[in-house]
Amino acid sequence: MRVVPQTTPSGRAVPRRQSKRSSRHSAAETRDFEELVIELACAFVRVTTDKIDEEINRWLERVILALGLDRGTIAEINPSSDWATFSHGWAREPGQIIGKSLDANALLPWVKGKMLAAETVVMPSVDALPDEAAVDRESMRRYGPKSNVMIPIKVGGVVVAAVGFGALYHERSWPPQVVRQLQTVAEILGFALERKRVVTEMLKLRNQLTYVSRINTLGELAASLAHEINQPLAAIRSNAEAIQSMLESERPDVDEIKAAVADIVSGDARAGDTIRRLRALFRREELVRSETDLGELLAEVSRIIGSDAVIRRVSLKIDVRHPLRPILADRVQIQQAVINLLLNAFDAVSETEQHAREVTLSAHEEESGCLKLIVHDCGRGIEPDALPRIFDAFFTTKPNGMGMGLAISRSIVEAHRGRLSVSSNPGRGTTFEITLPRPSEHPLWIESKPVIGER
Amino acid sequence: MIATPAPSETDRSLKSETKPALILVEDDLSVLRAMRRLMLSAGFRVVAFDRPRAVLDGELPKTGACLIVDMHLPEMNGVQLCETLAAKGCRLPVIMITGHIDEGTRELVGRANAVAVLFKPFTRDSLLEAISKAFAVTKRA
Repeated sequence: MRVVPQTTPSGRAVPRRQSKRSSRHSAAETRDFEELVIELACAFVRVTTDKIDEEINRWLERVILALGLDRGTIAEINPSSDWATFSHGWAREPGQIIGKSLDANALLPWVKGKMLAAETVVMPSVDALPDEAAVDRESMRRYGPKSNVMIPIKVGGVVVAAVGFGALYHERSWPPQVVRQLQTVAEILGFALERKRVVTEMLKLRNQLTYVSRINTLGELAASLAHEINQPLAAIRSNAEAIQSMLESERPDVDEIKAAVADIVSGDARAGDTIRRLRALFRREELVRSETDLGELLAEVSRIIGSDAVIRRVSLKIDVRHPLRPILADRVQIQQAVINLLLNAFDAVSETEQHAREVTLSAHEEESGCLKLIVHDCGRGIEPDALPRIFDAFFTTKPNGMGMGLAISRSIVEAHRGRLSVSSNPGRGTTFEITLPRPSEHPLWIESKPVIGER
Repeated sequence: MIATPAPSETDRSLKSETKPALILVEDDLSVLRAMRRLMLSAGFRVVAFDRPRAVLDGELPKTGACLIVDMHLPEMNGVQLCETLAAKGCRLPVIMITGHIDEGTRELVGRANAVAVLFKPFTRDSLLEAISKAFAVTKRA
């Protein structure tokens, strides 16, 4: 039996005796694993945020298999909470993942302490754990593993999780080189988790901002929405009072009364529709995907914004060219982007003479399969030096403008993997073009450029 | 529904002196129908138009009628219509109606030289009050 020194430079638990079965790592095996780690690193550079969790589980599997182990797991740990929650894992046999979470303070206090102190724990056998880890030893005996390495994962300089690579049936040795490679893997996983956290947070903020902007836009439309509702209400009121009058006569005109009642019913339906449409726009923040027919979407937009066009005396033309294949999209957000472009267009023609106040909203599908939504106005146009900054957050040419509308519209379009572009001739007009990719090419809602911050 | 009344109908309905006539100009057809019903049931004669052009092309009486014009019409707004009619020599009193009030509308209303302004939805009573005010003005004139 070989005698090994009490402490090692990395501070890991010292085995008191060499395990009976030590795995021999040939140079070839080490090299193969080295290549695997490089492949893993590249994979995590390339992976898109929405696939990070899947990718982590995939690579836990590959690492476990490559090293002849049985189980790999990541558990989120927290100094202020007793519980460690398993967030990722792979095991040779189902059922070897031991549930969603465990009481780390009760079962693995010593290991938890080491993790939070950013120290790797190498456990060739359960007996190799020191005396102060008696509780942990007991837990290991009960839940497996027979031999493992546990490595802390830092995110933003703070330990937030621990990854464990374990063997469930045999004890084994862990050469320093292998431990170092596993520490590299842990670090890469940490970067990936950090990226996911940051992007998730950014998407949440972006959704909140989009929602706030939409409420603001609805505020701008308030007057015209009120007008839209006042029309059917006026019809209902007049019809009802006319019926009252007619009923007072000696021979009421029953047919006319019936016609008036029918008009009341349809007026009510019209008012109800407007309110329903409005309520939909006040919907909560998260993105909601659904099969969306762009033709219907634009028809709704024209109903929402129709009164505003009337009040501002703008002639709004809608030109939808079929076929337009439906796409998976967030209906409310696309409507928000289009409404924003239309309101800008109305502003642009506000100074033009009345008969020339034309805004066109058109849609068609290109040969390539992508869908185009175009808003064109023949208004005052955008100055060449303002054009490159037109989509910047907080950039506005209006005295009361907040400058967020176009930035958010672009953000919405890009979240759908599309493009929002503009061309303009001062004095001749402006055209905004939304391009949405082929229906079959998804996924959606992966990273897109932040609205505020770097380009 | 009534868009442009035939000329003979106009002659018959407007030239008779017994019942006062209301000349209604409103582009929303459901509102137009409802208002017409209300006014007929109140005992008036009604001639209804849904486009300003039709009013300008028709022949309006000199007296015994009052105009009820919606502010927001296609082709030209209610005020422009009244200004055009006035330029053609029309002296009929005007009641303006609108479903919407904001800075722009307020300013327009000021220019309208209207006897009264009604906001949609309005009651039968407020409509009758405005109409009697309009005819009182006519009588005085």
